[in-house]
Amino acid sequence: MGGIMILVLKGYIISVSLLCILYALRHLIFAYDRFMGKQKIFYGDIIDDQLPTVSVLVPMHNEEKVASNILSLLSKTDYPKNKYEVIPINDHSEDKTKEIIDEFAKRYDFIKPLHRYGGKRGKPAGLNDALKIAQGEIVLIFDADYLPPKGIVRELAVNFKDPLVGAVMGRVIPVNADKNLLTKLLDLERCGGYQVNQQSRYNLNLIPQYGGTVGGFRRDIVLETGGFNENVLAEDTELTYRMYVSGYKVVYANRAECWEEAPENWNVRARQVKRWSRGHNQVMFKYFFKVLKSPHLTFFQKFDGLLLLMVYLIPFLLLLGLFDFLILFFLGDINFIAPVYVMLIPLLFSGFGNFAPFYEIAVGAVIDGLEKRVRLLPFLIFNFVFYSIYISLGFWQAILDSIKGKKEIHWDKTERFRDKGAAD
Amino acid sequence: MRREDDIKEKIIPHRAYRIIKLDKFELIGSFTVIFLIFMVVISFFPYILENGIGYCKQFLDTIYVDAVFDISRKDLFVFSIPYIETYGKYPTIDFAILTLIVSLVLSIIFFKTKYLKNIFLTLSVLTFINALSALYFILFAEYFPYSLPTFSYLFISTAVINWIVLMFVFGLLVSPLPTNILLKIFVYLLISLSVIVLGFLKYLLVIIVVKEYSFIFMPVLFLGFGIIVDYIYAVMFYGYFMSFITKSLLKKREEWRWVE
Repeated sequence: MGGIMILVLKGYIISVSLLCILYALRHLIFAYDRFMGKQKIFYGDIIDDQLPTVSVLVPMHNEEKVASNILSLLSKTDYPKNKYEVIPINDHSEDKTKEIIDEFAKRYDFIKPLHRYGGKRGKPAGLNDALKIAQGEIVLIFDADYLPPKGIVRELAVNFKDPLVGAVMGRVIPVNADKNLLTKLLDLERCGGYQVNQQSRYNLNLIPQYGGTVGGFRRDIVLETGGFNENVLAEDTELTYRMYVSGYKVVYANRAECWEEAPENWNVRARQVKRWSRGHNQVMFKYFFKVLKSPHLTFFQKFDGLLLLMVYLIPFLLLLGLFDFLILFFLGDINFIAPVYVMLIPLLFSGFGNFAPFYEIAVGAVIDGLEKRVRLLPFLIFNFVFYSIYISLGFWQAILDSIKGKKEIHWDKTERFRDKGAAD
Repeated sequence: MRREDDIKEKIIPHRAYRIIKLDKFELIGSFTVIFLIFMVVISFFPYILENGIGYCKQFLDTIYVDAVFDISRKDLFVFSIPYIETYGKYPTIDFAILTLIVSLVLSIIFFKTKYLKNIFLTLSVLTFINALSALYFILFAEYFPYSLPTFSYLFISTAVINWIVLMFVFGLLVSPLPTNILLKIFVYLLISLSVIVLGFLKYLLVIIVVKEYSFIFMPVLFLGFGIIVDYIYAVMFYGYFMSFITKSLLKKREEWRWVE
């Protein structure tokens, strides 16, 4: 009996280790590819006056600190105004968000507010209501804390000149990266995640991900396939997989850069990561076999798609492995499998979730010219425990959701830190 | 040449369009040289291990005049791993209870700390593991499977495997970097040798802590002060090297090319 238990414990560690080695290799290939491989450029360099009509949706729930910044920037876009509308979605706000939106709507006729004070709450429900009134062929989404530059609407929208493009994703850069250690580390993670990971997946014709903000999609495809699933927290990941299994592709537009406000304290970051994990794992349960069976995906796309689906599962598996490791240690049965397992943690630290391992981040930092920030790489190792705990909590919530068949998703809004005038 | 191409030759590309200029032959050469160095260091491993452990023993002999330290050997794959043998001590029940209380209190304090939460959560988990170890010694001390020699072998054999993997991984990471080959060799050797030298110092410290303060700290030392610490300073050197490369690349237009 004891022998079987030890075999199971060791078998688990070896299996998780093999899976993690696969991830480590995948990220190494991405790092090499971005550093020295042939790069694929998105469609942003196309100059065309036959642009599609665009609706920009901005979901807002108690966003008085940031609402005026984004609406002001969106009103300054260089996109033809006769093909452009902005729909700020005020979802049950209790602060001054409504007043701010209405003030902008009075000044600009292309700003068409949607105030929601009834019905289901949450971003997907808000987006579904907005899709019903949106006029644009293309729908772009920006979170309320984002600061979109003047040309970004054009850079994103022009990608849809290709009829096979179902969704597009731009690059996210923290505007408050210098604030503290957390924001600096998040800046590094973002850099590895976008500059290297997303770009490389796009280069290699794998699965670049639509991230739910600084991106967009064709309105008709989303409406035809039933709109956003209001019971899923990660509507962005869900949309990515829906596009791929329906035969469309997602473009990653590395040049379409938009500024975001990164969380400035660890508790806010913990809640954010937990929410992402819950939503992403909900999508994993739903799409795992659909990806496997899809006739529209190549072998490598399926392979990468499955690995991407499991990124918020790996931390939980690693954490379980840690307990397994401790049991084996106290049983005196730890041997050369110990280093294999333990070294996977550094190799993968930050290598799961939406994040990237240190070597991928280093390549991104060199390309981005983050000369001083790259020296913070060793600090990323301490994120392992932090992310493992909160991602695992999110994973358990996703399991409970699927067991209980939970149907009500509430806003779990990320706290904003912006001072008045800081975005100017 | 068209005018726009002419302009492109003069400015560093925007970060979205940047790609490093790499010469294929230089790249293959770098990988070959780094791999050869890796093989040379590996072939010297028996010598390095014997000397490293020998110095550790000498040091221990000078600080513990009355204690006996021997060097034994066990085979691990192709290596004969030398390790220090000496006697250690089990914790007393009072010490185990004190360790349990202190570790639990620290674990809770670290868990509740709001600032630098990533670092304090890591410390919280490590102190919790220490509390588990204390509990184990309170309840099942007679079943504890390690003596100081067996732990000593486990620690050093684990470290040796880790050094080899770490050198291999950093070889893959340093080789393609766009800088002088001699500098790459220097950094690669710096990372490899620093990990090995500091690894011996770490081993020495672990033997002293376990010998001085009992077996109770073995789990936390193995997990928290073993392989992961090697990576912290290896990644630190790598990070500083990448910072240096970034700085020099930003000054040289000719090192970059536009994505086409």
